[in-house]
Amino acid sequence: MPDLSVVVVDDDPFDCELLAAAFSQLPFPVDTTFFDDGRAAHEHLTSERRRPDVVMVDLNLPGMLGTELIAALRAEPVTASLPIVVLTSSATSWDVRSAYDVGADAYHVKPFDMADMRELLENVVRYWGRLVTARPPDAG
Amino acid sequence: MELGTGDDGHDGLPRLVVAMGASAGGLAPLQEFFEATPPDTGFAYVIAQHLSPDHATVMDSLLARNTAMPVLTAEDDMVLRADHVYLLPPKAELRVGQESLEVSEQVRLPGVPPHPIDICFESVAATWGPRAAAVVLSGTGDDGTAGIQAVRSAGGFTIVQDSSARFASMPGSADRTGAVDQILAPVAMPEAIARFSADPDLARIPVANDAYGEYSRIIAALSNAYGLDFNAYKIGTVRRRIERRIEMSGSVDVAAYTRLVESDESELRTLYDDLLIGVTAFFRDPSVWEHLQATIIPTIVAEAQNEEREIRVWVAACAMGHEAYSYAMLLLEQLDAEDIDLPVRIFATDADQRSLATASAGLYGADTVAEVPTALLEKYFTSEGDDYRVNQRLRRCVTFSAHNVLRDAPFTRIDLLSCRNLLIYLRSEAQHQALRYFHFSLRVDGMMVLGLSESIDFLEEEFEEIGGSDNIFRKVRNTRFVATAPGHARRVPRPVPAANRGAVNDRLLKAYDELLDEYAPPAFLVDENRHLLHTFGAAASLLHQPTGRTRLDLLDLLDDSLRVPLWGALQRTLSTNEPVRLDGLLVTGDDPYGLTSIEVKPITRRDGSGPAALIVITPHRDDTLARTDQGAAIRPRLRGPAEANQLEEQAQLDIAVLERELQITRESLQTTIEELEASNEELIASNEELQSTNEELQSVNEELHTVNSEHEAKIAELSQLTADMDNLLASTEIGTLFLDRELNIRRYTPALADYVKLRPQDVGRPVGDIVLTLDLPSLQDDATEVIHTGASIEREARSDDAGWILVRMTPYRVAGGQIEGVVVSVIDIASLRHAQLHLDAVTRRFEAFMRHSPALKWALDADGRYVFVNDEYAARLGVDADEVIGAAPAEMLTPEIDAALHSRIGSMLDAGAERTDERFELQVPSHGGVLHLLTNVFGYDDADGPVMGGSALDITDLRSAEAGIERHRGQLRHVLDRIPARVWLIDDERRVLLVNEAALRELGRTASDVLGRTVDDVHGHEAEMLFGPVGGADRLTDGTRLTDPDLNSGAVFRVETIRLDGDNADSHETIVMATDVSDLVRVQSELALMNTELARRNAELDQFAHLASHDLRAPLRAIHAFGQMAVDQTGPSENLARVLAGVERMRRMLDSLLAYAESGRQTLAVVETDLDAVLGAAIEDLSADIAASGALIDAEELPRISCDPVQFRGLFQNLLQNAIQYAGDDPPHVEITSSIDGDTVAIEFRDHGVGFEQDQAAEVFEPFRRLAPSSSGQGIGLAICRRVVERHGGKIWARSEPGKGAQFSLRIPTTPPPGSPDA
Repeated sequence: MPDLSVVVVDDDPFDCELLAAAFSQLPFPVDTTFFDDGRAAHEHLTSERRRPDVVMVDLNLPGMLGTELIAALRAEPVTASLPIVVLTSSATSWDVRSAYDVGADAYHVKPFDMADMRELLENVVRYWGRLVTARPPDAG
Repeated sequence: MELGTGDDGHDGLPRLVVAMGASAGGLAPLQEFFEATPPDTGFAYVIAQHLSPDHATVMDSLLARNTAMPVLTAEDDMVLRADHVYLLPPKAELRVGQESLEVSEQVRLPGVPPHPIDICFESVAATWGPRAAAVVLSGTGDDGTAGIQAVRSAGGFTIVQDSSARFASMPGSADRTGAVDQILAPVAMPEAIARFSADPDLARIPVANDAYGEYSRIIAALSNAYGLDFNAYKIGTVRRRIERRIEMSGSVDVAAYTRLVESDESELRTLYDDLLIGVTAFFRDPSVWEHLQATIIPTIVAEAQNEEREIRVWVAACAMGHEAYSYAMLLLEQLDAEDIDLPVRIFATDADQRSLATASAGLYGADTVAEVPTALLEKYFTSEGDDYRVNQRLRRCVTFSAHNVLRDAPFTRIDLLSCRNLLIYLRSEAQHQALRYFHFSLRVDGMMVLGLSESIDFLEEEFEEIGGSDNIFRKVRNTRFVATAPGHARRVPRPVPAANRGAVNDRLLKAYDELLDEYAPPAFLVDENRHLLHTFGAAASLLHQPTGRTRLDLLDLLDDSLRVPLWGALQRTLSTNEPVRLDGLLVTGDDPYGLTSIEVKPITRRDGSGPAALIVITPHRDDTLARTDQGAAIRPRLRGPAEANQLEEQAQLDIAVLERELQITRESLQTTIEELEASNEELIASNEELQSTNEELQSVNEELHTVNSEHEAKIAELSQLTADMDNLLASTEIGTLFLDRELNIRRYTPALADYVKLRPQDVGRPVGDIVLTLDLPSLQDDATEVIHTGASIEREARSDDAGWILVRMTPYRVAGGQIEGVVVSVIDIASLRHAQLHLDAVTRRFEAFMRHSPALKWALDADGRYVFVNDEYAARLGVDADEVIGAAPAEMLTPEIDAALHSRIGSMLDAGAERTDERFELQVPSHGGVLHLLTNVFGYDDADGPVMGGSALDITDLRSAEAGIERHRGQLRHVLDRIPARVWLIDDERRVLLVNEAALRELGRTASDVLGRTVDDVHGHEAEMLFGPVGGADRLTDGTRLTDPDLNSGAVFRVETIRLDGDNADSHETIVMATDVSDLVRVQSELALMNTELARRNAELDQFAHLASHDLRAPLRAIHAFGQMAVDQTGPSENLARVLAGVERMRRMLDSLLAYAESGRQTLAVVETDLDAVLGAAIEDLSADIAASGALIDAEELPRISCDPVQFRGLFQNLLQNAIQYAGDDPPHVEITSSIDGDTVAIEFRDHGVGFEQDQAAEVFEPFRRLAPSSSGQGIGLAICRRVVERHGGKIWARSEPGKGAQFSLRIPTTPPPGSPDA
C-alpha cells in the first residue's frame, strides 16, 4: 500500500514546521504537501491526478480564505468528495459553523502541546486515510 | 157672620152643603170627584160612607191627596165651614146642622143594617133644603135612597153615579125613586153642582137610560161563535170585561160595541180571549204546592203503587199549561225519589184552543220559568236561546185536550183534580154543575184542588177539607147527583149504552103501537112534569092544541072539564106514588065522551129517570047512572031546547054532577092550599132568615170594600214608594244587601252584583251559605253584632277584582224601633282608597325628602311661628325639631342667629313681600364659626292664607373650598411664573387662556395684552414654530419636539405639548411649554460625535485584540512545541522550563484577550431561552472545577427570557468560576436567586468567598483587573460578563465586603432592546 498522502494548506510558517515535525513523528509514513496559499492549493488539487487522502485547511489564509477554498473544492466534481479537515487556531463558534456550512468534514483546533498535535494528526490521518482503527476520531 | 148669607161664605158658612153617600167601591169616585172640584167653591162637603166598625180608616189621608181643601174627620159640634171636607167617623151617625155638625154614636138594631147616608141626607134636607146637594156613589144596598128623596123634596139637587159605579145597587136604588136629577160620572158632578148653585132649574136635566140589555146580545154572539155560554159566568165579571173592551175598542157605548162584535169577528175573538183570561204560573201559590208536595202527592203515589195502576190527574182550565207541568214535575220528582215506575197521565184541559196550543208546545220564556226551582229547571227543561222548553219526559206525561167543564163528559177515575180560579168566574149554578162533574170524576179518596177563594159550597158533605186554607179536598164517597138546572147548563152528552140502541127494533115498535091502538083503552102517558109522552088509542080525540106556543103540559091540551080533576089526581099520584081513580066525570067538548072514569097510575120508568103516570080513560057505558043519563046528559047539548020538558030533571042531574065536581075540586084545592101553606111558611121563615143574613152580609161586604179600597190605595202608595226606593237604590249604585235577624238574605240591589254573585234564588238563603266574593270573613259576626248592639259597623275589604270596598253594616229598624235585620251597604272606595294611598305615599315621600334634605327647611304660619323644620335645620341651628313647632323663631334661636337669619326675612315680611322668591347669602354665627347659608325665602298660600317658608343650603364648605382654590391659584401662579420656560394655555382656537411671566417677558407685553388673543396674533412668525402650523390647536398632540433652529438667533426650543380635556368632551385646552435648549442640543451633538468615535475605536481595539491574540498564538505554539522538542532532545533544563512556563502564561493571556475580543465582536443570536437550562449547562461545563473544589451551588429556578444562550452560558460560567476561584479557604458556596419585575429579570449570584472592598466594586469589571494577586484568573471573566449583560441591554454590579463574600446583581430585560450597544 502506497504511503498516505496529506495536503496541508496553512500560511503560518511556524505551524507548518510544527505540523511537518509532528507528521514525521507518526508511526506510519505520510506523504505531505504544504500550500501557504488557497489558490495554489486549489489549482493543485483540481489539476493533480492523484488525490490526497486528506486535505487539512487553516481558515485564516491570505487571499483565498479557508472557507472559500473548501467551498471551491466542493464545487468541483473531482474534489467534491475529498476529505477536508479544518485545522485552525480559532475556537469560536462562528468559525466552526461557517466551516461546516461550506462543506468541511471535520474541524480541529490546533493543539498547543506537541504530543496533543501528534495524537490529533494520527487520528485524522488514520480516520480519513482509511487507516481506521477501532478508536473513533476525537473531535475535541 | 150672619146666618144664611153664604154667598161670600169662604172660610165661613158654606153657600151649599154637598152631602155624599158612598159605600163599596166608593173611594175611587170620591177621589175622582175631588180631583175635579176646585178648592174654592164655597161649598161644604159632607161624606157619609160605610166604614168597618173594627177598622181604622185612612180615608182622610187618602182624600187629602186629591184636594187642597182641609179634610177633617167630623166631630160633634164641629163648625161647618165652606171649602172643608167632613168625613163620617166609623160607628157614628153624622147630622148636619145650620152651623155645625152633630156626631153621635151609631144606633145599630139587630138584623137592620145601618143607614148613615140616609141619616146624613135627611138632616141636610131638613136644615139646608134647597141649598143642599146629595150625591149617591158606588155601593150596595139601598142606603141613601130615602135620603135622596128627602133632599129632593126639600128642593135640593140630587145626583147618582152612573154606570162607572163598581157597585150599582145603591145608586140604582136611589135612581129608581125618580127623585134623581142627574146620573153622572164623578168627574162631571162638581160642575153640575156648581151649575145647580147658580141656577137650580137649569141643572135638572133628565138623563138617558143605561143599556144593560145589550150585554145579552153580546153573550149570545160569543155563544154562537165559540160554543161557550158566558151566561154561566158571573155577569159582573163578564160586564166588566165587556166594558173594558168597549173602552179599548173606542166604541161610544154598549150598543155600538154590540154592533161591532156582531160584525167584526176579530173583536169578538179578542173579547173571547179577554173573557177566558188565563192567569197562571209555575207553582202559583207556593203554600199550596208545598202542601201538595209534602203530603198529597206522596199519598197519591203510594196508593197508585199499592194498586199498581197509573196515576191520573185532571187539570181543568189549564190555560198555558204551567200548572199541568208543575204537577207533572212534582209527580215525577216523587216517583224518582222513591224509585217507583208508574205511568203518569195528566189530562190538561181548557175551553180555549189557542191556550192549549201554547201549552202543548211547552216553550216558556226565562221570566216565566223563574219560579221553577233551578234543580227542576235543569232536569225538566232544555234551553232554547232565551227560552226554555219542557223536555220529552215531562211532555209525555201531559195530554192536552179541548174540554168544557160545563158541557163535556168529565174524565173518570181521577186521583187528583185541579181546577183553580175557574169557579170564581162562574155563576153559582154553573159552579154547582162543575163541582158535580168534578165529584163524579174523582175516585173515592181522590184529591181536588180549588183556587184559594173558591169553595165546595153545597158539596160540603161529599168532601173532606184537608188543605186548610190551601183549599185541597178529598172525596169521601160516591154519591149520585141529578142535574137540576138544565136551563143553566147544557145537556151533558152522556154515553148511551150500546145495548139500548141495538135492542129497539123500529118495526117491532110500530107493531106495538098498532096493537095498543086496537086494544088498549084510551090513555095518556105523562112524565113528572105532566109533559105528554105518549097517547094511546082514542085518547087523542080528547086532545086539542091551543093556538100559540106549543104546549107539552097535558093539562093545557085537555078540555076544561077534565083539566081540574086530572090536575088533582096527577098531583096526588105523583106525590104519593099511588093510583087514583075518579069516577063519573062528564067529559064535554067538541067530541063529548060522556061520563067517564079516569084512573091515574104511577109508572116506574125503566131508565129510572123519574116518575111518570099513565092516565087511563074509561067511558061508563054499563053504569046505571051512565046508562040512564048518558043520552040525556048529552042530548041537551046536541038537540037544544026541543026537549025542555026534561030540563028540570036534566038540571038536577047536572047539579048533581056539578056538585060532585065541586066536591072533588074542593078536595084537591084543599090539598093544594095545605101544601102551599106549608111550603109558604117554610119559605117565609127561610126568607126572613136569608134577608137578615143578606143584609148583615151586605153591610159587612160594604165595609170590607171600603177597607179594601183604602188598602188598595195604600198598596198603590206603597208600590210607588217601593218603586221610588228601588230606583233610589239602583241610582245610588250602592250595593245593598238586606239581611233578616237570622242573617238570611231578604233583598239586594242590582249594584251589589258588582261585588257579590247573587241570584234571585239566593233570596231567603242564609248569607253564610252564599260564597261571597268579598274578602270579609267577619261579615256574619259583624252583622250579628249590629243586630245585638244596634251600632253600625264599617269595614274595609278587598273584593275579588282587587278593588277596595267599604262595607257598612247598619241595623234595619222597623216601625217601633226594634232591629229586624241588617242593611249591608257595599261602597266602592277603590278610587278613594287609591287616591288616599297615593296621597299618603306622596306625602311620605315629600316629608322624607324634606326631612332628609341636606338643605335647611322651615315653614312658618301666618303668625310667623314654626309649623315645620327639618332635621338639618334643627341640627345646624341647634334647636329641637319637635319643640320648635308653634314657637316663634326668636324664641328658639340664639339672638345672633335669629338676627342674622330673620332680619332679612322680617324686613321682607314688613315690606309685604308675600310672593317673594329671593335668594341671598346669610352669614350666621354658629359654634364659634360662621355658617354661610344660601337662603331662599318664599311665600305661598296654605289652607289658612299666605305663609312663609324658607330653605337654606349650608355653603360654608363651598366658601372655604373657594378660598382654598384661590390660595392654590396664587401658588400655582407663583410657580408658573418662576418656571424657566415659556408656558401658555391655549384653547382649540389657539386663543391664549393663560400665560406665564417668562413668556410675557420674552414678548415684552403684559398679560392683559395677550389673554384672549390667538397665539398667531400675538407671536407673529414665531407662532408657527412654537404652536405648529396655523389652524386649530386640535392638531396638536401630546409630545415633545425640538424646533428647527431659529433663523435669526439659531436658538433651538424644546416645545412640550400637553392636551387637556376642556370643559366639554369635544373641546380641549393645550399647555404649550417652550424651553430654550440651544446649549443642550449643541452638547448633545458633540457627545454623539464622540460616541461614534469611541465606538469606532472600540471596534478597532477589538479587531486588534482579536488579530493580535490570533496571530500571536502561532509563533507561541511553535515556541512551545519546539521548546518541548528541545527538552525531548536535550533533556530538561531550568531555562527551557522557564521558557515553556512563560509560553504557557502568554497563551492563557492570549486566550483571555481573544475571548474578551470575541465577546464584543460576535453578533447576538437572540432566541427564547430557558435560563435554567443555560445555568445547568454552565454548571456542567464547570463540573470538574466544582468537583475539585467541593463547591455547593444553590440555584432558584430561573425564568425564560429572550437572549443569546451561548453568551449567557459564558456569563453564568464566568460568574460561577469567579465564585469558585475566590472562595477562600472554605469550599465555595454559591446562592443564585432571581425575580421578575415587569419586563426586567433580576438575578443575584451570592458567594461566601473572600470578597473585596466596596470601593473596588466597579473595578472588578475592568478587563485584566485582578484584585487578588495570587489568584489564577486572567481578570477577564467579569469584564466579559459586563459585556454580555450590557449587550443585552442590562446592567451588572457588585457589592462586597472583604471576608464576607460578594454579591453580583444582574438586571436584564426579558427582551433585549433593539439597537442596544453592540458596536
